[in-house]
Amino acid sequence: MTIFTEKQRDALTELINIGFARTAASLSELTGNRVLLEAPMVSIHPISELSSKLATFVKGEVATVQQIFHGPVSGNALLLLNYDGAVMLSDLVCPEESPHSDRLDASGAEVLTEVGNILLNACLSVFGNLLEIQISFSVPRLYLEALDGLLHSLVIGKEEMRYAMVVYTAFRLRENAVTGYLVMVLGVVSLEKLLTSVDEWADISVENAAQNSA
Amino acid sequence: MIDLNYNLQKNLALLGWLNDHADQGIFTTDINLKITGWNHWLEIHSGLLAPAMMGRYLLEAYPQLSQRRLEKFYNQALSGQVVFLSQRLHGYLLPLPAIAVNSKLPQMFQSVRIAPLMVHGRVLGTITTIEDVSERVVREAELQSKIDELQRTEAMLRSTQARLQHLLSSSPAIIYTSEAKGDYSATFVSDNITEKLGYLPEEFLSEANFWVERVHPDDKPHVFAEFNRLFQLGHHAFEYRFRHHDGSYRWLRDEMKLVRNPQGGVEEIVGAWSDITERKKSEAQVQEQAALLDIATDAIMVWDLENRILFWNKGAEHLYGWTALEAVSQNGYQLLGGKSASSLIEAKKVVLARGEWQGELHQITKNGKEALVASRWTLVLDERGVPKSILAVNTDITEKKKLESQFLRTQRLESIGTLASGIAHDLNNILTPILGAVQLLQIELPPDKRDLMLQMLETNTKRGAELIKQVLSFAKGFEGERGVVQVRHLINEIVAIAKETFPKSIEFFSDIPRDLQLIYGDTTQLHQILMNLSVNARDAMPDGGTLSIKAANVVVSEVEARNQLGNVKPGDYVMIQVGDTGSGIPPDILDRIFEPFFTTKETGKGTGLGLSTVIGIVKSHGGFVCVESEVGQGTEFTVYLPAFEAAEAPQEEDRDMPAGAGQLILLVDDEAPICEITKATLEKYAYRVLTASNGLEAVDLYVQYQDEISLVLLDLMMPARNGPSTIRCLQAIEPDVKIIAITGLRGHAMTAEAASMGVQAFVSKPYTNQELLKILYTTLST
Repeated sequence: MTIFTEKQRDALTELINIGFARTAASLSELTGNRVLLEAPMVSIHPISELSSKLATFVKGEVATVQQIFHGPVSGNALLLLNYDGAVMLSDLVCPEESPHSDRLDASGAEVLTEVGNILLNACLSVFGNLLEIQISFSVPRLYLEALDGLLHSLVIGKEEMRYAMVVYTAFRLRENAVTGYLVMVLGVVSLEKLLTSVDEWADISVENAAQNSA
Repeated sequence: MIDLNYNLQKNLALLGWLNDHADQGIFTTDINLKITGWNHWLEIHSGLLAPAMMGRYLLEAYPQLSQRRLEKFYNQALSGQVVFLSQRLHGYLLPLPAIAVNSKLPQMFQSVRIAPLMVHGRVLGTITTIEDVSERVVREAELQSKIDELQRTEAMLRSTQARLQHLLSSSPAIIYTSEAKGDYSATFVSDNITEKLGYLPEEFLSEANFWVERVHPDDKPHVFAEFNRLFQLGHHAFEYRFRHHDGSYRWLRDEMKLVRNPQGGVEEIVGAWSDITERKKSEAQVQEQAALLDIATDAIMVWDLENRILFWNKGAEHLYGWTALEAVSQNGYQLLGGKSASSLIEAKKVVLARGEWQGELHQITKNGKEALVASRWTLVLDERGVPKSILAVNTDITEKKKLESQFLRTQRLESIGTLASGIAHDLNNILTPILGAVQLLQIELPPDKRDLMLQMLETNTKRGAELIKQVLSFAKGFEGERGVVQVRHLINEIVAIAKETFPKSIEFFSDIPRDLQLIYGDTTQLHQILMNLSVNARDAMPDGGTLSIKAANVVVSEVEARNQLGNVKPGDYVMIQVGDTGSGIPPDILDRIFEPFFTTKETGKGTGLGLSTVIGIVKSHGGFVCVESEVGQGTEFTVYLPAFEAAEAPQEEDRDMPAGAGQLILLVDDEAPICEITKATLEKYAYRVLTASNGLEAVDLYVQYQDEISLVLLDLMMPARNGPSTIRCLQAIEPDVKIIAITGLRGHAMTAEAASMGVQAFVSKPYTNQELLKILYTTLST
């Protein structure tokens, strides 16, 4: 089933890329190292298909930074990494002199939370500006659990049909790459609103581009 | 309205309570970041009270927030975002002192959340929560350093394990651990068991009775008995056979040790198996060889360079009477030395220089008997080639030598027998004219005839005497010692005898240079060589011919020496050639003539020992014999004897006749003519003489002239009180009486008896005047 059009996907990719650029700038400033985020690859799936989509990427435990957002559009935004990727990313953004570890301690988890918070804030604010709405955020939280448990928690207690916008990317810093997913779980109404706005934005962009080129 | 107001009041009270009792710092600002709330926690930790803080601009109160570029997070919050600041990336928000337990820290470590305060979608200000995570950070650091330490330890452990595993698998021994109770099942076995015994370690570990079932059934009782010792001593080693995977049995040495816990209880057994099959094999071989050494009849012994005996076989026990226990570590030279002590020192020099030595040694057995041994020595070197010990193999040749001398005696008697007929013939020829002359002299004869008769008598008597002298010199001294010998004299004697005794149809020819070298040997034996060869020559010429005896100095080259059998050394030799013009020896029997008992003579005429005696004697003198023969032409035997390398010129014959000084000699002999002649001789050389014809008379005279008599010259063979009893009587009168005994037969029992009685000297009949005078002179001078 095609949930969104080619045009919508391109527009979404462009929008998210703006968020990624901001995130990369914030992280570079914070860490003192150049941080890059690879160009996003966006797809939208019904939440029921999310498991098979992610299963190829994650085995066992996953680390997620989650922020719930409210407003005219509401949902759940997640940065999803496998456990080793989480440890590595936390380690890479910290100053080199700080202690290295092959597990995620509380301070490491906080670092990852902050990274997730930066990414989610950047992307959600792009959408907020686009939709010209004020989105209110919850405090970011880090969860370590199995993928099944995570997916279950995303569905439970929600009557509305929910979709997941999945954005694949990779953080590049200090000659390393950590791959991960930005996942936005939205109700069907929120998704509809978002896609409509994306379409409008894309048309304006095309017009602007046409005018500019003219 | 009242309700609403009440609820508001209640909520405000609740918030105030939460604010003041929260375990976090909480402050709020308006949209201009003017502080609107400052909770009790912050009052405590900042030391700044809420009334003083309220209404102050945050960035003025804490200007470092701008310097540290944290201001932007407030802008984010004011734009509606929730911001999270982790401790690890930012350290802290407000500089607050660390609490007492973390007083070493410069600051309180904080993790911070900054959120917008929103009402109906409008941002009214910010709220900041500060959590003190100092304790957590310190603990995490401690934990991390412990983890690092553990990881280092683990890495070390892993490398130690790897090293250990390498050592275990490269060790020649199989290392194992097993339970110290129950069925002693293995808990670890090193990998090299596969290489050594063909099993996999897992096979050992999985099967409880694996080990027990593979111990050789015959060794099991012994192994289990030994187990008790392990628990008594704490460690033990034993050896048993164990079945290899291929079914063969291997000898294992099992060294076990108990591992105890600090309380002293037995934890497990650690052990090592070494395959000692090869060692066992060589041990068995050594035992076999030792058994061989013990059944050897030769005495085999080893001594070190300090002459201490290290090894002594059963043969040695047998030969010398000393057991191995008595002999080992004794000084071998002192134990066996006897007459050969100096020869042993010489032999040791030779063996050290050349690596081997052989020769004959006179040694002494435990019960004092003399043993003559043929000894062969080899120098034993250690691994670096340094002399370590001497291996000696001694063969007892005492009996062999005795037999040899008996054999020589038999030979000699045989030669004498051969001679006897000739002597009888000659004596008859001598005696017949004498008898005739004596009968003629009984009647009156003209003086010229009488003189002729007397002259003939004298000539024949002289001939008779000469003949007897030669026979006697031949028979003299059966066991002569070796000395320097001039072969020329020997040849002359033999020629003289042969001329007298051999048929007149045989002519003699001899050619002996004046400068013939001396040899070192036994006169009697050399005499016998010449006699045997001459007799053979005579027998080869029944119809007459020429017997030639030649001698010459020759040099035997290395090549010639090597071509001879036996141990012939190159150098100067004296060559003696005995040739005949007789029948010759057919080539087919030429090789056999030196074999004992081989003879071509008629039964009863020869023993077949002549030539084998010759070769035996020549070899014992270090020489060799060659023979050339042509049938019908004759035979030539050539004897080579090593020349004596004398440093001094041969001594001229001693013509000295020492005279007395008027001493009174009591001469006792039952034979009046001898008595008279001896008396006349002694008187001529300035002695005074009393004579007695028997022992009784002698004792009477001695009693009378005891003070004057200087010496008694006594014939041991006398009637009426024989020699020894006369000596006893004389010694009873004067214990220090000087006596020279005259003996007729050497080796006679009486001689031995006299010797044991302390007679000063012996002189054997027939003796020359010179011999008598010399012995008298020497005895009187002592």
